[in-house]
Amino acid sequence: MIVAAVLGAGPTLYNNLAFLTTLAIYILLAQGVNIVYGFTGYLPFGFVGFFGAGIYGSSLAIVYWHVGGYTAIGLGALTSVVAAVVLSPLLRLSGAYFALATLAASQALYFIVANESWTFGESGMSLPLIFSPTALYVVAVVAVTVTLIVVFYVRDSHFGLSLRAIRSDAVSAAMAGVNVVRTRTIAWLVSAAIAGVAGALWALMTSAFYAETPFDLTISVYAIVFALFGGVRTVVGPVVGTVVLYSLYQYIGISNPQYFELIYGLLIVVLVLFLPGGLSSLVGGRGDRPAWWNRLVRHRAAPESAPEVAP
Amino acid sequence: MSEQTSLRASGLSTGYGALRVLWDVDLTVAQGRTTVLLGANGAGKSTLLKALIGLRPLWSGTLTYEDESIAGWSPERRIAAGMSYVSETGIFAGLSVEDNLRVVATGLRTATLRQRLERTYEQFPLLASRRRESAGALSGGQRKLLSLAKGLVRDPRLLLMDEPSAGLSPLAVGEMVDTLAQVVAQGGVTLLLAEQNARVLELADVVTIIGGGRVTFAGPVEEFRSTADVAEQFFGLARPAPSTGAPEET
Repeated sequence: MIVAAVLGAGPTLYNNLAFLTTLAIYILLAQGVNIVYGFTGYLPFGFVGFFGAGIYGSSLAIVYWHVGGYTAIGLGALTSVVAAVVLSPLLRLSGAYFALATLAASQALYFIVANESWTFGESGMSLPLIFSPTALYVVAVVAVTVTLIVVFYVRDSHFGLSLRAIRSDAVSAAMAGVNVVRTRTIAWLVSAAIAGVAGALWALMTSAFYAETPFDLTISVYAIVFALFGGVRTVVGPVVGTVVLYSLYQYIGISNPQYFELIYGLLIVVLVLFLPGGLSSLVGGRGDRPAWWNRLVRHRAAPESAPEVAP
Repeated sequence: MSEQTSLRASGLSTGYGALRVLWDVDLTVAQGRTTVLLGANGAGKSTLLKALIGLRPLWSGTLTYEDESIAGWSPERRIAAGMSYVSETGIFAGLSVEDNLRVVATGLRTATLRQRLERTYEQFPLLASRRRESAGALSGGQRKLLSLAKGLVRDPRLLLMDEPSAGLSPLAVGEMVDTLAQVVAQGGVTLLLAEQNARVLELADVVTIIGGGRVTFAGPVEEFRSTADVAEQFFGLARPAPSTGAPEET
């Protein structure tokens, strides 16, 4: 609710709709990563493949079938889900093998799209303007809101509990009566659908592009790092991570890309070393907080209570 | 005899890849009769339990549970049919104690779940006091209790438990045996315990010994105790080179 309100008020705070819409798209991607990585432990390095599938699913539907904007978004999500169904056998793999296999799959999709004439691989895609920037931003905010509700559900429901159990120990989860394959596949498809919606929004916003941009691996990396920076397995974490890091990118990354890469790299190191649970772990349950933070908070609290005890 | 058979395996063999671990194992678990599978490390006890619950495919042989052939069933289906399996390390370290118990309740109604949780906390007060804590923060003995409690949440009729005593101090083993005795006393669930600790024999009605992947003895515990030869053989008494205590990799 708060996030939706803040996003809704976004344009009055900072009037750059392209930036805000892209921010919303990255929030969607980070939440997609959150569901598949945070809750199931599968790191989808090729997550950008679902984004690209959503982009091309929606774009081709617009070009060939002249569908409306909402239908295009739906078809974008559907295309990603179909891709996820095709790739669902990859869930048999684990760890680095899974990450690399999804990466390979996303690159395979890229090469198909970039080389076929019916996907306008040579000439590049160009779409008619369907939504005004303001209307598109409103649609993006709605998509983010719906996604956050989905993540809320995943976090608090028995379904989410099953996912976390599978992440902890798949065999024991099966022994607890959890249908491991089905539960994991649903999470996989949901996260693909979210990436597909993000892709469709991006297509509607950008309207003219070549295949290199939608399938750029940096998008995967950003979505993963944004989610981790904010904290996976939470609802707000990936949102905060995306807002902080993407804003940083907006201010530094475009004018001085080399400094951004440097800061970005340092942030990743800091994250891994000191904040493995992400920003949200600082305010989470005591057991989730990093030890150094607990010490810091205790030290700061101590002087305030000291004078009361002294007299 | 009027007692009913809970689980029956005959001619069961299985293994890993090219490695055969069990040869023609016959095992009968009668309802209400606690069966202890004795065997040294590497004898094939854990593999047998895994084959019984469906984590290892059968290479040959038949397997029935409550007179139904379950050889082709998935583990989930066996669990839904009233079987339960507690592995040696069967907890979710990343979840809270309560969430560990709640996971097991997949498919149960909310009211039933609440009632089962209350019952579990009555039976295991220690878990009640630590319900919000991460299961990873529990001690070895507490983890064992939690894994047993998890195994009981769904009201199983047959509980397979792998090494209830593994990794526990002698004191904690005693407590685990007492807890299991309470579970038996409450009735309703038949226990099949894979063990190598003689303390657990206190619970046994029937003993089956596995050595080198084959059943070398099967009979009532009295027969096991009176067959001095078997007992000696198993516990390595009066033998120059005791073999049972040696920790080998399973």
